[in-house]
Amino acid sequence: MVRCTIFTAGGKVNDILITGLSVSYAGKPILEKLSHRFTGEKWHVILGRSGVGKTTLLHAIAGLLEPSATVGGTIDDGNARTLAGRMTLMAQESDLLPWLSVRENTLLGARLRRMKKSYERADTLLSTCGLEAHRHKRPALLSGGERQRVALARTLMEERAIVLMDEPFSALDALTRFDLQTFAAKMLVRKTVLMITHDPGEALRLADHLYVLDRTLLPCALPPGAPPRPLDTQGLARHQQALLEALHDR
Amino acid sequence: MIAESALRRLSVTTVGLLLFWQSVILTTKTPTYILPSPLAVVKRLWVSRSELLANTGVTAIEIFLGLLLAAVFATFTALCLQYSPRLRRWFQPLMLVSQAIPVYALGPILMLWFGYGLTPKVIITVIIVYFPIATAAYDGLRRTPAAYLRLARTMNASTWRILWHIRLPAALPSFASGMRVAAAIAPIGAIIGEYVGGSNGLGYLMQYGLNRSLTDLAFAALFVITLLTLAIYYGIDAVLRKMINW
Repeated sequence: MVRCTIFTAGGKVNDILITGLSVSYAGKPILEKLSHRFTGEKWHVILGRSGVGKTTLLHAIAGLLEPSATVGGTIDDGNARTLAGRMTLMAQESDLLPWLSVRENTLLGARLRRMKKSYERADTLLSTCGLEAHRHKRPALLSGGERQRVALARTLMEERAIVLMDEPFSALDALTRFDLQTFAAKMLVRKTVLMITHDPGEALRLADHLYVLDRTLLPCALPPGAPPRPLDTQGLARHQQALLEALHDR
Repeated sequence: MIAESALRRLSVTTVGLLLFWQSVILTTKTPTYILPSPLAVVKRLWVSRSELLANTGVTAIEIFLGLLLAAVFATFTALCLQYSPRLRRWFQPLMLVSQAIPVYALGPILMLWFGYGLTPKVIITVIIVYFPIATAAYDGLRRTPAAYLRLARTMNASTWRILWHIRLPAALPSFASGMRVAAAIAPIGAIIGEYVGGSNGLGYLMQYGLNRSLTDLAFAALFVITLLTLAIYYGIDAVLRKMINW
């Protein structure tokens, strides 16, 4: 497979290596000299209070910073190769296009790149996501949970190794959020996931690696077991308490 | 669509006003050439129906051509404003000027240049409706939700594909609001054109009626103009709703 060419002897596939990243808007620094290596094929969760630059960090990695931003430092895959074309984005707000059907939304990438649309694959993915009955509906007719499932199907359709998630579940009710976390964890195995959230419970359920962002990325302890961890995982409540305190002190 | 209760209220008000109008005429014995009775107007609507219909056709064509051309120019302007800061500096004052021109004063000049036919009426209509469509279209293009654009960029879309598949469809609802406003005011342009100079159209027919003391004909023409305006507005509204249904 062509995809194998991104494996090299020196480093693991699809790491995200950040070196001395600084971002400022109009002289106001948001991130300063941030360095970190996010290892490939793991689920990394970044917690932090509003305004610490979580979204800025995600957008810097995705190459989505405003032209008005002043950026320093480098971001690559650990082998000095750019990440462009290897990432896909899943955001909190429903960014499904309201004028396209669920199925066409799933195929948006092909439409935008002027590639042949694989309806077959889209339909398979939509079925996997439990959306086969909604294929031809417009997003407005779907519930919040269903819309995020479409966004997930679209993300998977892109077949990118790195998935950047900006509070993808925060607008959902508790039950839907729980189900979708479990489902996403299952669907996104072997992807390098970088998720930002302000929900400590969610972070503890899903993370392989957990950090609190506050000028630097501070690693946090995780309960035992592989994600998605059930809510009765031993020590989950204690970790949650510790995280809340850590966030509070900042 | 108009709600049923709104329709009922409207008909009650209309019938009430018509009764009041008729009773004023009966009690004050106002002569027909000053104020014709509703009955006289209805009679005139029937008697001159073919004349009214033919002139309605003329006015309707002027309005439609005006709206169509203005929509094309306005879309072009909005794209220029969105994609070229230099053109934006040139176009934006021009747009404002188009709105500041007193079209009624411009009428005779246009007649001088283009004669008394269709052209000057269409131009006046374009000048009147261009501004609301252009501003609405530009607004729509400018306000593409940032989330859509971020998504498109991570999908490696070119500027052109983003315009065609994201910005333009996202701007359509705003463009449609501009078109609705335009549809409601476009008849003013055509009628002004016909007033200033012309030999057909509903505006001309009104003028003709007033000059010959055929006040009932002027009122009949006025009534048809109102109907035409409503029909154009609701027609365009229905088409836009059908096409932009999200």
